[in-house]
This record gives sequence, C-alpha cells and structure tokens, in this order.
Amino acid sequence: MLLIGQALISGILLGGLYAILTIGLSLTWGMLKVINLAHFAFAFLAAYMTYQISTSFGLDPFLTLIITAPIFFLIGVGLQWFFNRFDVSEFNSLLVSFGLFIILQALMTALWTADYRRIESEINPYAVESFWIGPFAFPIPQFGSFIAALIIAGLTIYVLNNTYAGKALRAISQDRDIAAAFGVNYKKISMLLMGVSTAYAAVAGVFIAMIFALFPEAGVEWIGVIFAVVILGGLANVPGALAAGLLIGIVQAVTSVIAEPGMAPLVTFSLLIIALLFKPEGLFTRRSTI
Amino acid sequence: MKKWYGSLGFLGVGLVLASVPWLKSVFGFPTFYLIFLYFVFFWVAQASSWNMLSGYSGYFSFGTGAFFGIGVYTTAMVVDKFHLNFMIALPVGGILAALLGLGIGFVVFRLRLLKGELFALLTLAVDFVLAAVVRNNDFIDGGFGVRLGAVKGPAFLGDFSTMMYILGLIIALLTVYVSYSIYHARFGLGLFAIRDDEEVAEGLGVPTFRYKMLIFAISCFFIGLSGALQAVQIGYITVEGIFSLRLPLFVILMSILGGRQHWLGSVLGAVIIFTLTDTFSKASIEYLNQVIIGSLLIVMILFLREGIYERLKNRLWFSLAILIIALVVQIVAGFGERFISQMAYAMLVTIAFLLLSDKIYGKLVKSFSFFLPKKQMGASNV
Amino acid sequence: MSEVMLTCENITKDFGGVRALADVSVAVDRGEILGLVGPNGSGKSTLINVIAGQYRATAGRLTFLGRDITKDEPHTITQLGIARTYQIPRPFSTMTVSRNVMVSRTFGHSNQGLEQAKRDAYEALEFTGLADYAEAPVGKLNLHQRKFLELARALSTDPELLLLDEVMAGLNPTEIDESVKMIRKIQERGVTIVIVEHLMKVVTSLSTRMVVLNYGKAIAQGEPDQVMRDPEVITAYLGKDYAN
Repeated sequence: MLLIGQALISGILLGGLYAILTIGLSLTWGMLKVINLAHFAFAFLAAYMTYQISTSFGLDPFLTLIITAPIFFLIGVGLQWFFNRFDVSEFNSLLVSFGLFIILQALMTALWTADYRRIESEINPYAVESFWIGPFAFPIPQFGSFIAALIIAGLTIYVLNNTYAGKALRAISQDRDIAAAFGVNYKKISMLLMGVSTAYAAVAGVFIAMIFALFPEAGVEWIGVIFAVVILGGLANVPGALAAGLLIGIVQAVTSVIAEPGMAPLVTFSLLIIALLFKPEGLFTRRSTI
Repeated sequence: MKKWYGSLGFLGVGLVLASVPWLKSVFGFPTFYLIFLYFVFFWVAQASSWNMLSGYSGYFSFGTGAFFGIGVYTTAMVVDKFHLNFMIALPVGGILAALLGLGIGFVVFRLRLLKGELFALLTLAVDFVLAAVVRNNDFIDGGFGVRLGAVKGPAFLGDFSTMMYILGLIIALLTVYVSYSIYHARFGLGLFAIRDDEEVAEGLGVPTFRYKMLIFAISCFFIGLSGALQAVQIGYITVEGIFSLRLPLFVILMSILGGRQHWLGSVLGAVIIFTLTDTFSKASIEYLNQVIIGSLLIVMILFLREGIYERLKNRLWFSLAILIIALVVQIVAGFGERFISQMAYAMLVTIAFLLLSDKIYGKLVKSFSFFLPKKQMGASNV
Repeated sequence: MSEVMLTCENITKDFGGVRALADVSVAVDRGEILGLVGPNGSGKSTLINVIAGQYRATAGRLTFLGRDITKDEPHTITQLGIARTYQIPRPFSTMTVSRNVMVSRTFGHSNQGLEQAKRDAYEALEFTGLADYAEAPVGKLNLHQRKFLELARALSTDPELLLLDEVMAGLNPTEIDESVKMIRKIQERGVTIVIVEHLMKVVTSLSTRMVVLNYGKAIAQGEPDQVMRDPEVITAYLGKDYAN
C-alpha cells in the first residue's frame, strides 16, 4: 500500500517533467503544424550542456538555465525560420526534424562520448536529497520539475488567453490567411512560439540532467512516451498536456511497482493505441463538430 | 503489361548475381564482398517491402521494426528453443509478421479518420509495445538476448557466407519482383489511386479496405521473411538491437532517396544508402555516418521530395558518365582505401548532380549539345 | 411502364445532434433525369452521399435494381452501376488524365482489364472532349476541364445511374451550355441521371422530374412546372410572402 502511494507520488512528480517536454511539442504541432522530433534532441543537448557547465564551472544546475534557456530560445527561432523559409509541410517537418535529431545525436556522441554522464553530487546536492511528508519521499529534482511544470503551464495558459501574442497564435492555428488579413505576422509569431517551445525543452533538460544519467541514445526512449502524452493531452491543449503528463507518469510508476519496470512502456503504448483509435483528438479535448 | 520480358530480365539479373560466389572461387576475391552484397540484398528487400505499402498506398509506416522483430525472433525461437533447422523459420517468420499486419490492419483500416501522421505514430507505438512484450517474456527473450549458435543449411548452398548470400539474393529478388509486378498490375493502380485520394478511389470502385489489408500483409510478410534470415547473420539478438528506430529510419530514407513512386526507387536507395553507411561507419569518425544520414534526409525532403529515380531516368547518360568519371578519378589519384568507399564518394557526387535544378541541368545540356545525340536534348525537357 | 431503378425509402441521416435527412422517400425511374433541388443546407449533397454509400443512412432503406444496398460499401455500389461526380473536382493528382480514367474503367461497373481500360479511356475522353489532354498531368486542366474529367471518369464505369453533384458550380454561361449539352448526350446513351443543382433554369429545363428538399425533408416531388409552383417550395426559397 505504502509502495503504491510512493509510486503515485513519484509518478505525479515525474509527470511534471513529462508535461514540460510535452507542452512545447504539443503547441508547435497543434498551432504551427510542425512535428518537431528534434525537440528531444534539444532537451538532451540542454541536459548535456547543463552537465558540462555545472561540472566545468561548479555552477548550481538551476543557474545554468540563465545560459541555456536563451541559447535554446534562439535555436528554436532559427529552426522555425528554416521551416518557414522552405515552406515545409506538416508531414515533411516530421522527417526533416528526424534528420536533425540524428545529426544532433551524432554531435552529442562526438562531444561527450557514449559513456554515461552524471553530475557529481557535490555540484548537484539536490539529486540525493528529498523532503518527507509522512512516510512519503519527495525527491527534490523531481519535485522541482513538478513545480516548474505547474508554473510553465500556468504561464502559458495565461499568455494564450490574455495577451495579444496568445490571441495571434490561436488565430493562426485556425486559419493562417485570415489571421494575416487581420495583421498577424505569421513569420514572427511562429518563430516566437518555436523559440519558447525550445526554451521549455531546455528547462526540461536541466531537470533531466539532475535526475538521470546521460547517454546519447537516451532521447530515443523518451520519444515514444512523450508522443503518447502529446496525443493523449490533445494538440495545443496545455491543460490537457499537463493532465496527460501526470496521468502517464502515474501509469508508468504504478505499473513499475505492481508489475515490472519493463511493463511500463507496454501499458503506456497500449493506452496510446487505444486513444489513437477511439479518441484521436485527445482524452481531454472536446471533439469539435464537423 | 510488358510482363514477359520484365520477368526474363529478373531471371537474368538473378542468374548473374547468383554466379558471384562461383566467380569468387574462380578469381579469389575476398569473402567480404559476399557479405557486403548480402547486406545490400537485405536492405533492398526491407526497403522494397516498406515502399510497397507506404510508397504505393501512402500509408506511411514507422513500424518496420515490429515486423522485422517478429521475423528475427521466430528464427531465434525455432533454432534456440525448438532446435529445428533455421530454414523453417524463414517462411514462418514471414507469415507471422503478415498475420500481425492483418490484425493491426483489421482494426486500423476500418477507421476513416485516420490521417497520415496518426498511422505513422500508431505503427511506431506497435513497435514499442512489441519490444516491451518481448523484453518481458522470458520464454522469448526476457531481456537476456538470444545467442544463436552456428546454424547449418543444406550442403549444396556451400559455406556460411555463400549460403547467406544465395538466400539473401533469393529473398531480395522475390521481394523486388513482387513489388515490380504489383506496380504494373491492377492492384498497383488501385493502390496509387488510394494514395492520391482514398475516398474518390473507393467511390470509383477500388475495394480500398481489401487492398490496404492485402498490401499491408504482403509488405509485412517480406519484412518478416528477410528479418528471419537476418537473425542468422546477426547471431546475438537483443531487444534493443532489433526494435531500435534505426531500421525504420534507414528504410524510410532509402525509399525517399530512391523515389517512392516507382518500384526501382527503393532498390536504388537501398544500394546507395548502404554503400554510404558502410563506408562511413568504417571511417575513423563513427558518428560521421549519422551526420551524413541525417543531412541526406533533410536535403532530400527539401530539394527532391520525389527521390532521384525520375531525374536519374531523364538524365541517365549524364549521371552514368559522372559516376564513372568520379570513380576513375579516385582510382587514378589513389584516393580512398577500398573500392566500395570509392563507389560511395562517386555516388555522393552523382546525387549532388541530380540535385541540380532542371533549369541548371538544361543549361548544362545545351553547352554539351555538340557531343550528345538528339535524344538527350528531349529528355531534359520536363 | 418505366422500370424503377433506385428507391430511397424513409431515409434518415443524423450527424451527432444534427438531422440532415428526415424520412426522405424518392424513387428514380430508368431513363429519366431527376432534378434534386433545395435551399442551402437542405440535404441534397447528403442524400447523394448516402446513395453513393459514402454515408451510412441512420434509418431507412435503399434499393437499386431490386437489390438492398443500404449497408453496402461505396466501391460495391459503384460496381453495381451507380457512379457519382464531386462538386469540387477531385482528380488523382499524380496521374495523367487518361490514367485517371483508367482507374474508374478498371474498377468500376465496367470492370475492364488494364490493357482494355487504357484503350477505352480514350473513348471516354473523346466523348467529353478531353482527348487532346490524355497524356497531360491533371494540373494542366482548368476547372471546366476538370469537371469534364470527373464526368469522363464516372461515365467510363458504364453506370446505369449517374449522380451529378453541382456540376455547374463555378462555370461561365458558355461552359454551362456545354455542360447541359453533355448531360443530354449522356441521357441519350441510356444513362439515368440524378442532378443536384442550384441553377434553377438549368435544372427545370433538364429534368423530367424534380424533388425539392428543405431542412432534410422532401417537400415536393413531380414535374418541374408543378413543383416550382408549389407554395411550400416557394416559401422555402423566397419566404411566405411570395407563396401567394
């Protein structure tokens, strides 16, 4: 019983990390019709950079965000510029970003080799620390990612609903041409969104570096799970992404405890398959009328 | 339509290739070339199978790994657990893969809302699910991997490399022949119609559900068949190695490079990509391979989405000339350690040439117009 | 006595909460041109889609030449002898004009082998005046030509019943005249036609009989003159004031 309770908690906390990764991907896919597989490579590249900066300069991992977030924002802007320039279709963006993913993976192997990399505990004291509520442990990095997820989700929802940028984004995701007729500059707003999305990936990267040991192929394992979360949450549905992230986090954690860790992907992807077959617009999205 | 001399052509090519092992024993070139060609056959079979489904019908599949895995693990079980001859595993692996395909198709193809990306993701999810199932099932793999000992084939097939070569050749020929036949048949026409506009195709009398099921099953059969043989080549089978994204990525890239509209496209793509990766993975910088593959994918999608086949057909003599010149220059200059590497670089040069826009190519042809017969001038007119 | 080709008995079609067709009963006799009209959103295209099999009727029965086709798949219905065109032409974009027709000639009611289908495709293209474009990619055709390609495709299946969904939309007067002549030619070949159309003059002059739909219900059936003077029909189009 205790074990399941702990699993629930770990699941929810990890779900926060899933949500951070998902929100960016879901927004760019839903609003810009760009399926950015390189998102994962960016997250891990950011993780590696966090590792490197912390290790080389003894900087607190959280502080590395000051460096990595802007860098990745710019990378995202550049990427979207590229997609706009070549008028890449939705499906082709999947393939092009896949190519980019491969290249970045090669880059990471070249710079950091295939060995596992982990931030030393002296520099990353959080990794081994938790705080306790009753019999349940709350590991600090995971807890941090959960809080970050809430902040990011909240911020994003606020911006989408209450600012000009948000309105512009919602407009272009429905009809690009009409939005342009109303003065929305697609190029600028799309680059902004992709920049933010990639910056979110960088945030995820920081937590990944704190929680996990890094190796170049790590990104691949996440692709499946995060896409499951994207689909289940519904495209461009930020609260949905948060909910789906938590759901999958719980599913994975509880399955690992009740059955075996190896079974977790099985349950997650079976859920995804069922979702794709019966509710492809997402578990938390209302089906729009034709 | 041009059926009989097409079939004869296949027979001819098959016989020529089948004679290679014999040539090897006569002229004594290294066994390495047999193994290299075996892998070319493997990729030709995989890419052609994929293209039969995804290129012809437009239903883009990312799940090659799952069907490949079924073939591989069928051999693993047949040899390691049931202690039977591996040859039995070949057709069985194909059939089991086809059955999975039919099962998935039966559920998935009934849904009319299934867009292209969703089918791709669904097949990817199947790959992950299957991997998890195999990893957790102790009888099949259990996460420990399966080590296949030395396998024995019929004596008339010769030693191991020769046997693999011949079997690989047969499977590849079979797969490509089926792909070619479908291309020219009513079935193929129906599939192309489905790709262009499924609803209209259905409305004009194409039995879309039946055709999709059929092509999915055929495609999966060959993926599994080729996978079953590959198990023997790999020897030590692990879940990570078999169900990785590497296989679908390569197969998709091969078909995109070669051209998804024509049966010859994936064959060309397989030969080129495998030659390239073989060369670059042997080079001192291992990850250069990945960079080239990734870049090639991006370049093809951006600049030549339909693949090189059409342009190669239109610019055939020029392309061959460039290939040969690039090859000869390398041999004469002593550049490149092996013939295969030299081929790889020559291929890259030729691809770069094919990427030139038709306008630039037209200008090039005009400036060479003295030397060329009238035919070539017409061919550049797109 | 003309034979009844197609009967729609109490056809109802719901989309979620929206009832697009309510209890529609229509019969189509062999050799006639049945005009299907009604204000926007009255369910004309929906009825075509139900007959062609693209939509499954929520309730009711469809019979074609004595056979119950209510639950049949679209491809089966085509193979039985019903062909349709689309309001916005949908040619197969990667194929040439003649290959487009080859598809329908092979898979439709005509059911020809590939070789024969290729030869026959030319015939269909000649009939619709597109023979010169046979080997051209479909991208080269203008709207009017694409509509004729739609017709050629549908006709090449050797249909007994042809469903025309707003063929005149977007055409200029000359093109409309040519289309009308084409449709009469088709009728002369013995094909029964159901034509959905907005242009009243065209429909009333072409049709032997008409059916008027409004809000998914069939409010009038009969000869064009009769139907167009029916007060309920006038109300539906112009409002109550004009009914008198």
